[in-house]
Amino acid sequence: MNPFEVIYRLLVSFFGDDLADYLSGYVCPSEESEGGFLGSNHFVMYSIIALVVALVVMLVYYYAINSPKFNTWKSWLLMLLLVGMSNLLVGALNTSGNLAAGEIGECLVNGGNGGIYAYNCWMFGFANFLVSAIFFIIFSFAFKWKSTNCKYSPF
Amino acid sequence: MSKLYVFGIGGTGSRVLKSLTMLLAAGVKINTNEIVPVIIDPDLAAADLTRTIKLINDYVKVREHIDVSMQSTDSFFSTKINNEILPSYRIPVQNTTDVSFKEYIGLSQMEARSGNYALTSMLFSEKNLNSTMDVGFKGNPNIGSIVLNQFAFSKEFQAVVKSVDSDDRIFVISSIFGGTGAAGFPLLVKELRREKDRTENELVRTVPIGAITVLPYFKVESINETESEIDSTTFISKAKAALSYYEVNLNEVNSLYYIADNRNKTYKNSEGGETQRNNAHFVELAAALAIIDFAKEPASNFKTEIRNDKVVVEGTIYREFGIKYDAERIIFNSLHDRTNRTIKEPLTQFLLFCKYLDERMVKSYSRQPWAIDHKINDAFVRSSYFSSDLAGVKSAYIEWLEEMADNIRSFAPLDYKTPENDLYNNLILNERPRKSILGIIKENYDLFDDYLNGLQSNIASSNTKELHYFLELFSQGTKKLIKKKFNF
Repeated sequence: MNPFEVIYRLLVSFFGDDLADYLSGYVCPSEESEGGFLGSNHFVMYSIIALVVALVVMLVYYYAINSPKFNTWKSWLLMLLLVGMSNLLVGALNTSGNLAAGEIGECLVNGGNGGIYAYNCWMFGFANFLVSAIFFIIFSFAFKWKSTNCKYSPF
Repeated sequence: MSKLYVFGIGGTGSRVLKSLTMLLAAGVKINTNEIVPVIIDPDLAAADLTRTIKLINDYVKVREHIDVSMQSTDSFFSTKINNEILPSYRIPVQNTTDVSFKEYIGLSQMEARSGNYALTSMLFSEKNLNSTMDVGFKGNPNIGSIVLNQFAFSKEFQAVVKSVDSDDRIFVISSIFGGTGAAGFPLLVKELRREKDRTENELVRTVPIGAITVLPYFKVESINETESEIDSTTFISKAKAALSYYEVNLNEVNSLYYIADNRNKTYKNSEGGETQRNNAHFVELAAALAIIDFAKEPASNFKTEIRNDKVVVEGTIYREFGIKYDAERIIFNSLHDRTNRTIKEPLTQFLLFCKYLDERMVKSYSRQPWAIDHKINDAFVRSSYFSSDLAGVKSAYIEWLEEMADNIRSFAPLDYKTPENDLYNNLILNERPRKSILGIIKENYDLFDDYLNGLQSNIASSNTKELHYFLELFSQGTKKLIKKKFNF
């Protein structure tokens, strides 16, 4: 299991094992194959998106905007929400799209033998929100010290 | 370590010293290591005197928290004001309280028909003789020239004379149209240049002496003679009489500056005391600039020799102050380049500093890195050196600018009242600030804080003197900020 997946698996109670399996690359058994974790691991893609968004927003906040006007915890929280919400939408809309397009195997979706509803997709979005927020927090505390105006934001 | 002794005689002397202190607080450079203020004024309660002494005291206390070895030469408060030689800054004039002039000179002890009595009666009117001196000489230099003769015997004056070194200079400020200044100036020069066997320190005889004689630049209300002896209709005639005297008798000065203004404001008529509180005037600022000009003059331009035990000064330099064009309201554009080079930047810097203290400090110090990283915290803001001494100079500076702006002629190049959300527009009259494309995220005080935060790591910080760091940071920060916004 790759390290990114480990983080998401800690939050699996939000979005359920079936969606987690799909995102890990699980393919339902069919006439052509026996099934298993044969597909690509989607967690890697979501992790990289979350990392990049968190990194870019952090750099913009601390080094591009870098304004004494916005060096409050409120401004920092707004940035965190921006990172989280954008990742929530990426996670939720993308998985919902996959679900609607029938790209998730029947053995995993509700109506077949699985338990994935649209609700699970939005809960995955929420999990993605949390993961990206953690990345933003880590990046903030790692890189804020060289910011002239925002080094003490959020505290 | 050269010193510049600045003697302020009478009310005008105190007011010019106040202007000089303001310039020094703002970081105007002066070519000396330290200033020694010496005030000669019998009117102890005069508001002009007490305001000046309070300002100097605040200035000195602020400087106690500056690490001189680490300070830039053009920072706020960069010039030392010496309070060791004359801690009170004043040379006392004794026996002038509750005494009439005739009692002072012992008129009653003179025989009624003696020559002394007759001479005294001829030189002094009955009104002069009955005049009290608690509040000075009320525009009577003939009284002042008698009473002020005593200051040379005071231990304070002797201490000042003894402390003079060969590379020091002396500057004397006086007005010519009143009592104390007009009488005190020639007396003081005489005492400083007196004969070898009558001085405590022979070096005083040859050090360069500069002086400014302030000619009439205000009037006072004309009121009944019983209420005030001061009558501004006599100012011109008194000035003429004194100038005639100076022409013949005042030839031991190396550099002599004159200043006057024909646009006059009429002040409330006050003989002295707490009610003698004239608003600051541009003429006083210009007179203070004469001191800076004198300090800058190369020593080779002053030629003072002793011949037959007499002080001989050759080539006295005479100067006057002028503005570019006659205007009721002076702004920086009205001044010549040389004057602007001296005062424009520092006065603007210090105004921005004062505005920041009043309008932004409370909001900023708890969250801006320039404050957090250098212990600029609640304890700093509550300290007496910040909340009392520095705040005292700041309030006096704002008041000084406002008084000059309200006077005639008005000196109003800067506006203290620009709003926080439009800080730089109209800050300097007739000068438009540059606009920045980053204006939305860094404008007004945010831009100010941005400069402070950017500079803070470059400021040599003294571990124990937060105020040193604070002043150095704001001095450099305001300099960069106005260069960016106004390109000067």
